[in-house]
Amino acid sequence: MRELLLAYGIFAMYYVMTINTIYLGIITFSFKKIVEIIKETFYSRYEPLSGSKYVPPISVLVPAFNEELTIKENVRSLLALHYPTHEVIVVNDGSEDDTLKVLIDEFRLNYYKPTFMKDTIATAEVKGVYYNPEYPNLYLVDKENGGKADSLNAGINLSHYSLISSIDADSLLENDALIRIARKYMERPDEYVAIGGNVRIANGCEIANGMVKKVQLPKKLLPMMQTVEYIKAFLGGRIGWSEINGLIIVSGAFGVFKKEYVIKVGGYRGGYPGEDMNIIIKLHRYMLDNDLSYKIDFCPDAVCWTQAPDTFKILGSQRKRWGRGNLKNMIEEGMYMFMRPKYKIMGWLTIPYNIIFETLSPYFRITGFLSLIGYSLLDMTGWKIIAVFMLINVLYGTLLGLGSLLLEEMAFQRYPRIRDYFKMVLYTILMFFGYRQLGIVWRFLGHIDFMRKNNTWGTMTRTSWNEGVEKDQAA
Amino acid sequence: MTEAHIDSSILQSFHHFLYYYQASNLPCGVIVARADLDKSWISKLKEHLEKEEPATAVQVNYDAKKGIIGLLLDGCNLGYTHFYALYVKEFLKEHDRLTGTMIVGSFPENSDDAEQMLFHMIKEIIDNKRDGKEIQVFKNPTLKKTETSSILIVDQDVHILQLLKKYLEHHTKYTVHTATDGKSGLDLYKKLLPDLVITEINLSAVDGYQFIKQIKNMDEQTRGHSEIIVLTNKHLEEDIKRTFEYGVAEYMTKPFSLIELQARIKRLVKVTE
Repeated sequence: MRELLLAYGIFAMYYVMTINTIYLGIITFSFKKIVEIIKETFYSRYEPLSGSKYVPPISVLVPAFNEELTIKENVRSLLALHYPTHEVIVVNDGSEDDTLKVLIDEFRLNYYKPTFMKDTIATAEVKGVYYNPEYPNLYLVDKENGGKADSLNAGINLSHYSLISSIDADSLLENDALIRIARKYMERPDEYVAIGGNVRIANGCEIANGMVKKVQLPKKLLPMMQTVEYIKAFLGGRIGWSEINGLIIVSGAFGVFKKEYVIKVGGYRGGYPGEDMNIIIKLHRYMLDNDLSYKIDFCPDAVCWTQAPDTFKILGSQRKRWGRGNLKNMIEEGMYMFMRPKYKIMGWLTIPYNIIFETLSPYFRITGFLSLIGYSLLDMTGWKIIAVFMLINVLYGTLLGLGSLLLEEMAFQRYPRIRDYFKMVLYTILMFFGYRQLGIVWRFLGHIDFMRKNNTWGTMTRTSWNEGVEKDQAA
Repeated sequence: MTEAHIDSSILQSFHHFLYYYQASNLPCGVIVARADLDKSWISKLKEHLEKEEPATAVQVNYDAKKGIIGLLLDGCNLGYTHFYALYVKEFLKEHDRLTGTMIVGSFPENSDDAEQMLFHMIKEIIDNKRDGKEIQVFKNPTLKKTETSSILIVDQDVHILQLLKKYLEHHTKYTVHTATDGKSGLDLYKKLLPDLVITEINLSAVDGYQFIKQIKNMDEQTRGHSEIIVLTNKHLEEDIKRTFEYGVAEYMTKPFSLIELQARIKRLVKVTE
């Protein structure tokens, strides 16, 4: 019994080490690509490009559900994006608050019957479209509640351009975010089907007029953890995955897609969270099934700022939702691509990695941890082996985290103060003492939700972007 | 201008209220009159007004040094303020306390800056030596062009701002003011009412179109006029079409020539003395 527990525990340790080793491989690709990215962005002139007639027009889709506090500023800042031709389509997903009214009042929009709207993709009933010729590139679609994916589909139905961009209503895009992605797209317009933007945590930053004025690290614990976590996932992870064309997700907060293919794969899948990962898997599958040459890329210099949850309750519900969405995607789509040679990198690496090391990780980790505890209770003498293994894993993980921070410092330097850098290093290490474990438990709880067919979206409370400014004025 | 010399207790005591009306964009009426009063007369006046118009909240301040009384009416437009002033006049005349003209004004009808309005009203009362005891409606002097002409340039790119400022100040008689986003550009415009505005379309906070439109709206209200030159990265036909529809005078794209820009400026406004 004792040996069995020890063996299993050590197996779990090796499992974690394998994850880290794969991650090390990915981050190596990230380093390879970052040099390219630095050169590209250094030699690109985005301001002239943002008025060029050769840049393809983009429809920006903004699903909004109960966003009355932030929607006004966000739409204003989306309208002011530096881009040659773009339209902003806000889709009010049956909000229970004044989202619709706030927008109608602010932009003096008029009601139009949605008779002219195509129904390329079926959606919940559209009640009306609002428009004001004074803002020729703003549309507001009002529809029955149907979820985020459904809203995006409704936006696609109304959109006029061949590229679409999905943006969370609670995020702030930087002025040049869209043009940076477009520049990337223009390198190979026939191959790109999706390009994701970089998501950063806005908590702690100074925000005014829908713009991030001053970048600062969050003051609270949880947002700070998420800041380093996002840097690790986006810079360390996604740059590398995109280099081998094995990117499995383009963040729902900000990404650009070729509309044609989004429609071909049936639009966004409703009814479950994780529609952002779902659409990317479907795109991979469609392109590979039809033997089309394609690329799904990540553009780390196109930045979108988002509010991170700052309480355990809300963060927990977000992570459970992610866990649930991930499991659903793997069962629905991933299984068909698992180890199938036809699906190349996706079939051989991305999907197996996600199933074995992401989706199933709570089971291995939790059972492994329990068996090690059981073993220690039975025989205290073996603690040294366990300690050594744990130490190796923490060091390995920290090393990868530091690598991601190094990528950040090499290419972007968004946090200018030296102090900030040390703070991020500190939290990179702290992450392994409690935060990561909590994440794993939440993912497991998400799976339980999935089994119980609990299909709620959970809550996210928003604070007005102006909060920081108001405080400043009061001071 | 002799702004620094006018320092009245009315200005000080109304400062916070006016700031509040301005910030929350609520209307308020102001009456300023030359009168000879003391504490008991003021309370009598207050009583009288309360009896006649009980629904109106009024603040009264008397500047004994200068012999000027100021009244601030909550939520009143110009028409009503004028009507209310008749009661004040009636009372003052009846007791032979009125010593000069009365001026009435209302924010935001007469001025888009409540405090400046009061300031100019007091200034006018002091400057006005005639002793006709009539009620006058305030005419905003800031709406007239100021003596020193100015150019406002709005662009996100500080290098362009620096370059243009240096060049234009050297080659023309204008003072050049700059802003990096649409919102601060609008604020500056309100203050300066410049002869010429040079703006980018790609602006943050308020985009270029809204910026131009709000300038045109303001011009309409104040019957002023500023020429607008668009100097932009945007090379699209639709942008050219749309900006001209909004009433701009010139459309230039970057990269641009300083000589050409100067020539076009010359065509629009008088460049030298």
